[in-house]
Amino acid sequence: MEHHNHDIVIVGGGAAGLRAAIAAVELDPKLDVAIVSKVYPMRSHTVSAEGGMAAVTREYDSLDSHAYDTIKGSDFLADQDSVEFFVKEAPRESYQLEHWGCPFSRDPDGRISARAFGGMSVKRTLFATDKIGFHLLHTLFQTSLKYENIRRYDEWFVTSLLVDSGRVEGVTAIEMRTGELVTILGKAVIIATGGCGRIFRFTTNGWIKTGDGMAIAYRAGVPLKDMEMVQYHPTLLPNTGILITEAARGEGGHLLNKDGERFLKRYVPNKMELGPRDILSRAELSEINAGRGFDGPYGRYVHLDLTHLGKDTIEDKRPFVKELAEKYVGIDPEHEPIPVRPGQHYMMGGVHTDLHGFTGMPGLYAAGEVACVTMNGANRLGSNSLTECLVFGAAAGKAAAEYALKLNSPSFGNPVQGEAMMEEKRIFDQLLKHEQGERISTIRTEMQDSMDKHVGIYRDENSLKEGCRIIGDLKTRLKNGIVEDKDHIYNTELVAALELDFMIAVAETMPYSAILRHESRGAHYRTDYTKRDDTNFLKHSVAYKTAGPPRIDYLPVTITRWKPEERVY
Amino acid sequence: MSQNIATIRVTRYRPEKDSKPYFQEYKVPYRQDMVVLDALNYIKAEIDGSLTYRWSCRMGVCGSCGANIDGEPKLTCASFLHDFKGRTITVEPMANFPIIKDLVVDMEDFMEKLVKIKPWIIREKETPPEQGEYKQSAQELERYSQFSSCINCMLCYAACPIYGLNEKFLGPAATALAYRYIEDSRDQGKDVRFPIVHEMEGVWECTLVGECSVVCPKGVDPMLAIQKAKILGATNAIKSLLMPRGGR
Amino acid sequence: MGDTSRYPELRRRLSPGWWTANRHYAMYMVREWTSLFVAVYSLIFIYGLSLWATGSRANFLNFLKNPAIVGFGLVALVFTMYHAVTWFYLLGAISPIKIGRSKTKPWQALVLNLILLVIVSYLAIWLLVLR
Repeated sequence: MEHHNHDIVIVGGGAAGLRAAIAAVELDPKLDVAIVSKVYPMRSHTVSAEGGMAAVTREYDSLDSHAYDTIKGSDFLADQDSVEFFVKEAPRESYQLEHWGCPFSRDPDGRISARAFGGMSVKRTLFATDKIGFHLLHTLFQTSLKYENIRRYDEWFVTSLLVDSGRVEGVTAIEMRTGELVTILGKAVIIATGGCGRIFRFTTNGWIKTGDGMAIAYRAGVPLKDMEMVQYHPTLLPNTGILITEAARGEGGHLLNKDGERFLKRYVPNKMELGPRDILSRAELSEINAGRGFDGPYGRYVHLDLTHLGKDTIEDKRPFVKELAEKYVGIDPEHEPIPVRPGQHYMMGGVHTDLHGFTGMPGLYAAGEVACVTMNGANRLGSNSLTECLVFGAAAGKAAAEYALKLNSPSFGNPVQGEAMMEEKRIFDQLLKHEQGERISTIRTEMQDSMDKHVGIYRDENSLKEGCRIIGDLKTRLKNGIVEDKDHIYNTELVAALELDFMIAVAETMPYSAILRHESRGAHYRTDYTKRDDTNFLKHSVAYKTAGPPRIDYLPVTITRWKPEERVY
Repeated sequence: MSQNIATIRVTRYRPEKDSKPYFQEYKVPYRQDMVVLDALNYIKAEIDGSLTYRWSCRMGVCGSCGANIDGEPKLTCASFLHDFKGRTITVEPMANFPIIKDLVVDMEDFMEKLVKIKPWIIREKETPPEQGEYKQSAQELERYSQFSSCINCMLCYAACPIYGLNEKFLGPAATALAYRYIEDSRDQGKDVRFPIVHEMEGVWECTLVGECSVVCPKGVDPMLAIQKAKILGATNAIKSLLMPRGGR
Repeated sequence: MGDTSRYPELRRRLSPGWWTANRHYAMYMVREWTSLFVAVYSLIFIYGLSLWATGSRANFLNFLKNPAIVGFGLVALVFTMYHAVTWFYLLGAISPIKIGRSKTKPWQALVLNLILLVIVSYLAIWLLVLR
């Protein structure tokens, strides 16, 4: 089997992956870093982020304020040492991004502009009109082209981690162009594959967010932490799930119900539309369930009203919002309110890491949405995630680099070679060769519908039990899934089947983690346990893979300076 | 009854089976707000799992889903079925690129050009980020921000007959990106980029067809960038003739 | 990785009739063909000037009055006007002039240049023919 050798192998070419690569080669220019991405890096889902990235840049702000906002936003589940590290590094990372050319919007004095954002007590979200993710990704990607030692494997689909005696030695990946399975060896592997939103039916996430990195780490024995913490974003367009940025509310948009009422005054009277996402999503759903929502061909929704903001504010600061509303729902936000409803957006949970991105398994690191450091705890504040990718991407890159510098290269002998050969058999002799069975798309749709229904915004014992049952059932059914496309070259259906395999493995950890958490905290809301229970549940759930359903264990939350208190806005 | 069905004619090309591409027709249930991508996803999920195409964000920002739809380069995620005449729509891979399979084209030529123009900030002296940002005014930002909106969808290359005739042509998106860095007040790399942009197959191949700017889904206006780069090149050449050492 | 000789891919050639695919391409080709008329007209004009140089202005003017020359000239005029109009508009789009906070629009450049064209044309005609 063909094999390649590098010092560091990074899986995923989005913000965190690219930042990690740059950090590694800047630490030591002799390091040979590979980025393996199943899409060209500019297609990574980072590109769709709109609102901004938070960092302390102003005299009226302070690191403690940013930390407190983040910890309170997390409903006190965040590990406070990670948050302190995060807020301290954030300003430097922002200025570094600016130095690399990111076209931030500017204040009259030439400084990077900052706007208000949900859950942030002061204006600290730096922005680039309303396309920060796009500009951040392209800036990082284009900057990465500067370094000759960053080699890219574009459109290579990673299928598994190779582990020898508990140490990571590399990955197996399908080269899409040829369809061959190739081994890419590395002294260290950094997983930066993003979240798993496509597990749900109604999500802002693009097609590629299938939890690949979470699954390969999980299968290698690394636990997935806080998987019941799924973030729902309050403003998605009905049907398509396209994201309407939080910045629309940050600049003064209002959420209205059927009676034209700004209903949030009954839920978050102080912060109103700038309250945190979990509370707003639940508020919207409550209004809809109480009959105060609008009816549409794609379900019920509420209104996001920007009509009072004026032409200039909309066209200057949120042109993308206007473009999306006009194109996908045929509405001009200057004259009509936009229909919105809550939907899945982000995974607070993910691969367990410490604040250097280290997973606990020698050689394996993770950063970005795929990782659970955790700085977001039970609910993430908007505009923290892009900064998170930069801060922890850089941290993981440096940690992996320091680790790799001390090691010799792994060799392509046994057991790694044996593992790779078995992987090849699993994919090409078993999965691809099935002649009879169920369509991948059927199993996938059932999984997505079930997750939306049973592991949604409101959960209870019965819905979660049903979720566990269905996902176990789908796991069995997938063994008989068929792939119609038998080609080797660029087989996207085979990739879809492998992605579904990953998604089901990851999805299983969610209801099993959620059913044991007998409280409501942040985004995890149980109608049968509506109060937060710090005595019993101020801890992280960690899910380990077994031959059967996941085994759930617990890890303590690191508290440094902020004692948990009641979370009111 | 037939009002609710659309016919999608898609190019199929399977390198392991076919010696040349052919069209295959599929019937899809039609909904008023469907985009071509929805139709392709329906076909792949329900009718023919082997249909192969690229897509990701479905909101017009990742640039994956370019195709020639009824002869015009468009993003499949942003092309509404109701915008096309009749209920039969032809979807082909983007013109001017080699086909890998079905609607998937080879992008390596563009990726090489991207590296060639050195799309990163080049400065003689960098100040450490701890000292804060390089200041930039709103006016300075405006000089290049339009050209920084390129999502690398390559519809402009599909629309450009010059690129179709000569693969070596630097092309709209790459030139627009080079110009974006040239005009960025923080960049000092003009001398490095000018030779690349002003070589024979750089801007001078462009004869102002202008179709690139017509098809660009993000309003980048690469044709404008190319012409502005030509003006820069011409004035630069004159300056270096008149002031060989001092000119910049 | 980037070495396309390792696997098959289909290369397509641009067909000679590519410009018939849409209106923009067709109008572009028409604009390119105007160069043919400009070239031929220039040769005719140079020949006419040579008649004046070797003979008298009357020879030159008589040559210009030839109905075939007039006919060709009219056709050439139509084509070159088309080129001039599209060119002036493009110039306006490429190099707008900043006046205070706003920029000139392409049609303004078109109008301005057409006025300049008329003035320069009149001067030329006066110099060569009327004086």
